[in-house]
Amino acid sequence: MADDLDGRASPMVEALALVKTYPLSAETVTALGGVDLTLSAGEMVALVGASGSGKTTLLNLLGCLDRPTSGTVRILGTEVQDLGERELTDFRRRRIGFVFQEAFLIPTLTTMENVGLPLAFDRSGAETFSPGAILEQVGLAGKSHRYPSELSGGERQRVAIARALVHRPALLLADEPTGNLDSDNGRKIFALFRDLVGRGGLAALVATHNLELAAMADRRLYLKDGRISTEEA
Amino acid sequence: MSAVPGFFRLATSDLRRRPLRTGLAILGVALSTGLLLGTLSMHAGYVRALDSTIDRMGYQVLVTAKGCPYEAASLMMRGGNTPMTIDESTFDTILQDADVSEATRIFMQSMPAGPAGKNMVFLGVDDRYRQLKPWMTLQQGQWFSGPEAPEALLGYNASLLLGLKLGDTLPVGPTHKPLVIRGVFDRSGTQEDGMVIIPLAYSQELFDRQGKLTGVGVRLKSLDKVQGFLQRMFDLPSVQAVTMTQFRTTVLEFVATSRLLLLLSALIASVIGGLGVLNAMTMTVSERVREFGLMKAVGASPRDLFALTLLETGVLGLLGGIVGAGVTVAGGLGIESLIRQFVPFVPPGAILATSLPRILECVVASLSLAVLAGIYPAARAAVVRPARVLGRVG
Repeated sequence: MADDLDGRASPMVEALALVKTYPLSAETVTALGGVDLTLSAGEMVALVGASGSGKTTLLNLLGCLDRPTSGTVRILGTEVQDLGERELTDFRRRRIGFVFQEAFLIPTLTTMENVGLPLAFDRSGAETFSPGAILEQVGLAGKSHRYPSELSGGERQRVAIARALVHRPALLLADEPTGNLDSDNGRKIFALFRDLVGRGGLAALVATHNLELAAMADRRLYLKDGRISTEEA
Repeated sequence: MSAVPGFFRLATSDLRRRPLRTGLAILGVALSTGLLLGTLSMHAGYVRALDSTIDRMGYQVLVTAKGCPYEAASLMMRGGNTPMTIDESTFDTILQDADVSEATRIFMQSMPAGPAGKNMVFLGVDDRYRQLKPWMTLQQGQWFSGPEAPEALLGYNASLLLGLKLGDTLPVGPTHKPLVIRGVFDRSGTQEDGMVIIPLAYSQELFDRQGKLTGVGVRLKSLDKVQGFLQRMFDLPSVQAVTMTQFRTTVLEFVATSRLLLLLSALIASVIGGLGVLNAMTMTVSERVREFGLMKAVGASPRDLFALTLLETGVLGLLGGIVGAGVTVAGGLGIESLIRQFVPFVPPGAILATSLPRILECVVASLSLAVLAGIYPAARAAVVRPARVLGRVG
């Protein structure tokens, strides 16, 4: 957790009055209608909401994959909505890790290579984990030379988590990471997040519509119709 | 295997995933490369073989019966039946010309001969033939014992084709005694390699054309005298003269037209090959849009994705170029035999002159073609928006 000049802990991620609208034929659809949130280092927050509530849109904005219509996204003190495309790509490459509902592994690359994929585009020379070490952390050290087709669904998602962490991001964003898994594997994945966030000191925002899994997070934010609350509706 | 996939491995991973599509795209490029290399090599080889053949004719002017002089000249060069003849007295007139250094009488016909009845070209020559073509040397045996001796000298290939050696006999029909093989020539690289060479007087008698000639080969004292000599031949009744230079120019004009058509075919094949690559890569990019979105999400820049896709098309072009050039080089003899079947006049000797620089030129051309075809799909890959392709808008 970073400290400001007054000695108070400043949040790692801060979103202020975040609005995102999409044009749809003649009308405009509001996906997010003024979202405020903060995330601190070492904190795992569950983002709970039904399908279509705006979870993915919010994660895309926080992850620099999309730009807000209005509002501010500040990550590690940088207001990312003002960055150019190249700076945004660099920022995303160094600071953010993504896990999606699908693992999106490249079928012709081995487990190890899939984990190392973000490093293929990193020319900064910044300190990273070795793919082997991070695979060990997610419990797949023995399967580093297997191809995605040789792994179970839970194992594939673990590989995706390892890929999201290999470049030592500050912020981990996960969009329904257990959506394609059974409840047992879902619990294991959430426990893994919990463990990695605790050990790595990173901030994690994990979207889910599963309240049982959300209960494993430090905090829960509820999203409905593009607006956020701290209490379940 | 490295823990971090390199750009080349990332670029080629999809090529291995879809072998049929990759194979077809490579085949398209290979065809255009092969056609281009074949066309360029054939032209160079053809000119070289034609020049070599003309050089080894031993004379600069050919005097034949009136008709198409170029057809007559091409018949003399490749061998075959010449229906039109001139009187032997023309030879004496030519010899008396002040500008003539040397001349030889030629009588050429073909007929089935030998145990298998193969159609062979018989070339009737006199002693002057040896003075005009000193490079025609005998590897075995000796020159004819007399001007009307029923003897034959075999060209190098004819000896192999007929399976005859010194002292054997060659049957030439029921009305004549078999010819005795008097000698076998060294390989000369000319049309005579495949011919049966017999004494002039005997050949005229064998084909019942006594006192007739197919043509007269003339070497002038100086090439400056050629126009005057041609004019004097033009004034003679029933004969015409063509210089080997004129013949070469005419043949090459014909070849240039064929080459243009072939180059046009190569161009069309290249466009089709390029469209094949464009189609394959556009499909690939459409199918891998989420993969590209994922790569962007984990840090790939638009330039990275553009380069990856262009590298993939470059690999297709390079493989297509190598396969096309390889098949053309390896199948050179087959291509030559095909050309010989369909092209009216092909000089003896290798006519497909492939060379390393020409092969490299064609491979680079196919690589450039593929890269050009890859620009559009690469641009599409570069502008993939991860937010749109990886998640639902929710």
